[in-house]
Amino acid sequence: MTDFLGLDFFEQLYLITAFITAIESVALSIFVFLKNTGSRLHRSYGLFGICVGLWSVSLVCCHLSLDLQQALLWNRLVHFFSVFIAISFYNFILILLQCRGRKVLNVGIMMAVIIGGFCFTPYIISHMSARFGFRIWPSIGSLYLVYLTFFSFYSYYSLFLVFRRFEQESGIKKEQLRYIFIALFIGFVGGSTNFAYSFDLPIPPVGNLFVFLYVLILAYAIVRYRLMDIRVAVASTVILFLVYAFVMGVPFYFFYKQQYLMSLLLMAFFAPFGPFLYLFFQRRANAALLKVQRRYQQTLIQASSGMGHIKDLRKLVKLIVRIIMRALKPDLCAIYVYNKEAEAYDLGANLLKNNAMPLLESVHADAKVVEYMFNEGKPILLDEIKIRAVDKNRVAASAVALEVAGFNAAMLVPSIIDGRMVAFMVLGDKLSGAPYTADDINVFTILANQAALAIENAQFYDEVKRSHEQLYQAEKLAIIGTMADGLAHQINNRFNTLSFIIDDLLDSIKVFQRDPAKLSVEQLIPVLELGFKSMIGNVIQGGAVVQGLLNYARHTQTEKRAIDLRELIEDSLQMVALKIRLSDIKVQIDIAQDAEVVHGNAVQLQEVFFNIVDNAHYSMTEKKDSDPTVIPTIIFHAKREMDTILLTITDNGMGIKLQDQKKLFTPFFTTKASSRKGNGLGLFVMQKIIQYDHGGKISFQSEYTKGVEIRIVLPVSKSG
Amino acid sequence: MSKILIVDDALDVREFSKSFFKKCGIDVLTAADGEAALRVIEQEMPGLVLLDIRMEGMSGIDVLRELRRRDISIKVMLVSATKDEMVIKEAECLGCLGCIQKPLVLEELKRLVFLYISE
Repeated sequence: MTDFLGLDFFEQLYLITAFITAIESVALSIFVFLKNTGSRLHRSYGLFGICVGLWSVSLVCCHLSLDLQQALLWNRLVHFFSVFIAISFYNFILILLQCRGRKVLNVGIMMAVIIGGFCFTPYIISHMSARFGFRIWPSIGSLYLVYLTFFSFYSYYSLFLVFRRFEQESGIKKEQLRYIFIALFIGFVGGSTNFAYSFDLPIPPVGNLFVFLYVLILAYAIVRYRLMDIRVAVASTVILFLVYAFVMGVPFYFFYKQQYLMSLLLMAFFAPFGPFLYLFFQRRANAALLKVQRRYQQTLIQASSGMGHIKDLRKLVKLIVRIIMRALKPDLCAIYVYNKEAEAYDLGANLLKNNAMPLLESVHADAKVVEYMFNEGKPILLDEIKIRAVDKNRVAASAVALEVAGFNAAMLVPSIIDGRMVAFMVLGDKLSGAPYTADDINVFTILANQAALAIENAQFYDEVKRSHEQLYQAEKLAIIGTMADGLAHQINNRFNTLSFIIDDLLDSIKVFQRDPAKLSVEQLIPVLELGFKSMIGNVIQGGAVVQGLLNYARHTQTEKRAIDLRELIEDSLQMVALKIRLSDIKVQIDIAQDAEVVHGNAVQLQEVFFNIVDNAHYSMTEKKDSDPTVIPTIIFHAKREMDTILLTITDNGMGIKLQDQKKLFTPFFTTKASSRKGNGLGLFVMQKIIQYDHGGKISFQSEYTKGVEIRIVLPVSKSG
Repeated sequence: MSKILIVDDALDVREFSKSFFKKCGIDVLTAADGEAALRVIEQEMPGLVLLDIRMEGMSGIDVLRELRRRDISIKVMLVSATKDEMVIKEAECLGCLGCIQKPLVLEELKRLVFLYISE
């Protein structure tokens, strides 16, 4: 290939690699820049890459120059751009590492402008001449050392900054910095071999042959370690570049060999394949690159839809653990949920792989690691804590590191909501051995937030359920209390009456014994007869009370079974009679033949009917006060509807005001003026019994001042 | 002849206490509920009222309140089947003499009645 412009092989290689460097640099920097024009990091990289590209292009042009004058101008441009390579590199590193150094940068920019200006004077490059086999090579001017010092300082100081940070970082960030350092070390050391010939040192600029590698290494870091989030774009570029290098390079080779026809044919042959090949590889690359991201997306979608539905706390934490195990495949995953009573985080659920060490059952809320997580507020990697622990100022961090080591964890993820840490997750190393990436941490941040919400939701639901249960129990006790009170009253009244009768009779006998003239036997006998009849009457009444109690006790089995509806209603009325005088009310029971037997819990249903009649009585008494002509009437009507029995209970009381109707089934809602007459739990408990315990329905219709119609749907008894 | 009023919703209680006190020379008026009791009190002004607390409609306490409202000063003994501290306290505040527990023994009641009537 010695025929090409009369250059020897090394010089040809030198120019080709420089040309590749230029194209790659510019292409990558344009992609980086266009991918996110708003990001300072992307802009600064774009600037640096363009400078490298221009420098390399100038280098190529210089060596292809036909005369020395032209070569001198290009070479001055080479030096001009290299000045800006150094300073733009420093700028990029400052932004990448987010470290201070603006003053050094500003001074550098000023110096770059001045030195850049001097590049066009003979003080930096005096002239061009042949040297060590190169046709043309620059000879240095008097200020060349100033230029060299400036260039070396900014480029190598920047590299030093990268290296220092590399040693401190961990995980994915460390990997990114490793590749940035290697890439730019090759770039700068390689480029620096260009200086030797100018100082008459016999070291050929072999390093420059490898400068083009820096872009490839950076591209690798971008794709493999998500540097600057442009992996997909970079992969597409590399594929485009390779496909077209082949599709156009092969015909060009034949063109270069002056076989024009062959070249033309190949071009015609390859041209249609170009786009297809590109699309094919690009799709493959995208699928591979986005695989992890897709999986994460899937995870998050699954998690959020699943978590929203589950109200059971235990199931919820199990789901979260399962999702994480599937998505990330760590060797352990556990969730600790805050337990208010114990003031500790209890192990909610966990999955272990590879026989990992068993986990702590509970972590006290005062533990250092809890405080640490809360203060950080985001996922924490054990490696990070260890680094901080090395730092002497962070004594606490080392204690935390020890505690974390106790978990056997690689990452801790706090779930914080409204300034409270409701839970935290513990994750082991990934089974694949790969480090946790920035994406992982992002996913965990989102997952942790969702989990916090869901866990709080579930805890709240638990609490509500528990308090509903308590309300229900309270109301049940209240009903039993009311019944017992009525019972005691009734029995006591019977005894009281009996006592009166007996006392009176004894007194009459006493009178007779003292003075038979005053009260003769003929007079005494009817008195005694009346007394005994009354006593029997009272005993019978007392017996009825006791029978009512027995009927209630008869129904104390809690399981559901076939119940005769009429009997049930009558037993309920008997209980109500202990509390109120039912003779004031007309009760009508109208049950269709095929609606006689319901399937249910007799005690509960009796409580429901007791409540309904009690409420109706209250409402009808109120109505009678305003309109004495009304005859209070309750009508029980039952009929069959498919597999259910529809029972309607209608009264002609005051009814319910429209504005109260919606609130009727809420606990503690009462319209009764005196809280002694009701605590507002009746309807709420009735709803629970009918809907939750019997799978039925309860609803009502009412017009104010006209009365209430309550509709209860109950399952029909299969056996009945 | 001294008059007392017995207010109870149990007919037998009214009848037999009436018969019993008649033999002791005390005229017994009866009322089955609160409203009737108030009417009798206004018309007859008995020397003592034995008032059942738990009745349909107006309770014994309601009657006491009403008497207070109408500014009627009269001796009232409450009769109750159960011991409810709150109710007893309220009754005492309303100027009631006291509360006796059911079941009553008529001899004991007679002693109390004579005690209060003779005052």
